Amino acid sequence: MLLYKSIKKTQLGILSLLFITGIAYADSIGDIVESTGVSQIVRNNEEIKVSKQIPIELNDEAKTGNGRMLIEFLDKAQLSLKEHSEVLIDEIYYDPDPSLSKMSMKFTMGTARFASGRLGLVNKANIDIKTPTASIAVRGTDFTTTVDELGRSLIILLPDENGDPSGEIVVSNEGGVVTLNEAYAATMVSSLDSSPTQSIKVNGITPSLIDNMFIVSPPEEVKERIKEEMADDTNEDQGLLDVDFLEFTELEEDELEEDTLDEFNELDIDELDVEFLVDVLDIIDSSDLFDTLGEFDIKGATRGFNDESQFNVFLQDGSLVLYRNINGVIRLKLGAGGNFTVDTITPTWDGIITGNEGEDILIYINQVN
Amino acid sequence: MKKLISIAAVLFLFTANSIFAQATDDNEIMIEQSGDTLTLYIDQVGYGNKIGLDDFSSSGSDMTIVGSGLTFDIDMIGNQNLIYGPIDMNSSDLTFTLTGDSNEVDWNIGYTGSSDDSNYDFAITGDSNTFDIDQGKVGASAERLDADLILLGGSNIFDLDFESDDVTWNFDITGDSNNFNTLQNDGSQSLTVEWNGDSGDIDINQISGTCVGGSPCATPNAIINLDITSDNATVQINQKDAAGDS
Repeated sequence: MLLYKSIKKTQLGILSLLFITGIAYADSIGDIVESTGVSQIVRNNEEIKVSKQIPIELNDEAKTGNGRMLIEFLDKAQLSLKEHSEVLIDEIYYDPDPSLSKMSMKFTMGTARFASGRLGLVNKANIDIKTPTASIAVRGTDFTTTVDELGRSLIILLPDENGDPSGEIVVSNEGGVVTLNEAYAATMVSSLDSSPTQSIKVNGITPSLIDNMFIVSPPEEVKERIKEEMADDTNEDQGLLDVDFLEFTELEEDELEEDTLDEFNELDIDELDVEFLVDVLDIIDSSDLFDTLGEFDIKGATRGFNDESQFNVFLQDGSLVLYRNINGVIRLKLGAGGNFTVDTITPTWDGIITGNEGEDILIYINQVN
Repeated sequence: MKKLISIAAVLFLFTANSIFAQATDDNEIMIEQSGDTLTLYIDQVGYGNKIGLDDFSSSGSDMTIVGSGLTFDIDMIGNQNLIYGPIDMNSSDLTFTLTGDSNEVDWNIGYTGSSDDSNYDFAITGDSNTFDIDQGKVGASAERLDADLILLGGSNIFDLDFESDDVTWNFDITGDSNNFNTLQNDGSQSLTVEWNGDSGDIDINQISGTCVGGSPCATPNAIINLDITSDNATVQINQKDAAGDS
């Protein structure tokens, strides 16, 4: 018989008794053990602001704003959410027989990392992680997912403490199946019926780098893989990159028209990269860039996401917004029509962006140690 | 046991031959408090007033407040007022309203003990005020601060240093020639500034620091959100690992 509910840590010792007596015990299935910034739990349509360690219950939806959250389940499985992420704790129950236990979650938005529990209370075969476009069968212990607003999912298998693959995960959907069995093996899934990209190993990264990197843009290897598959797919009936999104009537709706570059706004900022399928490998000299937005003549950047500087540029209420999320978030909103100069020094890019005549507002940004 | 102290120091001096009301100076509120769940209300009206401990013969000395679950509501109206103090308070709320010019606030919060889970609201209206607020210190815990500052005035100087994790500051600054210097150490720092005024000098530093226990903190999860409208402003943003205040 299954215990289809949750159990307290302190009740693990008397778990067998509960099964014998058939008592279903509804309580926490884990705790938020760390949280920073703004985050919340949605429980029974009620939003609970996370300000300290609080228990997690079934059907909770964990959401982060400008914050992060670490959840530890009763079997010591850990789920960490980066900024602007959402995960639904769908179905978790523990049985004395791990083969009968189950863990199911839906990663609906943002970046999350899951490491299966070391207590072995749930067989990995019974761990089911879903994204809007893929299912992940867990035979490993540690992986990350990055889900953007369109549901596109980037999945990376992480290594164990020895640098070896932490196991194996199988990513599948209606379009196909891909197995990740190398440390830092990655795949990206663009839609529910388009097959995941072939497994590609991402080199030269660590989990901490991934934390910073995959929020902003996918690994170069993944971009290359997408580009290669795009080039290989001459048959329009093959490959996810052959999908012509313009064929979908949904793209004719106004909401999607707002996603065009001319209407680039804050909602289009996607650290998970709304530009996944665009060739971003051709870096251009940002000093040559020029654009006009509202009352601003901009030099050094253009509207939208700038590949080299990693600034997102858009108008908001007549003001110009420069948004960058690498090694920290910097968001500058400059008053309508103002003259400004933004002089930026980072480990990956140095440059100057000016608005109008420049220098009435002089901003220096330094991210170099 | 909850304590309640309500202090109103309001002095006005009128002369029969004067059409002006002139405030009396040197009202002194001396506070030394230890214990939990204190609720403290102070309304102080006048100029040259001071809130501290004792011996105001010079610039003033510290008030010392230690406790948990404290509620402070300090309202100072007038010029040239002083407020000093080291404060250690966990899970506490501080509301500080200052209306006047040339006031001086010098607070060390969480310097001698922990000051976690605090909520501060500052509302400042006036010119040429000076604020020197230090939140946290190496070896002392001062985590999870949520603070809001609304400033309306010019030529104010703010020097705000935070050595603590998980700090969210929201500043709304309106006025010219304000000088704003912040240093945020450790992890998970969020700073939102709305700035409307000319000739501003803004220094924002978000760097990794030393966590409680002395171990280095990781690169801060740093967020800077600056909304600025100005005809003349200089902004320096340092967001990095190495120490250094601009």
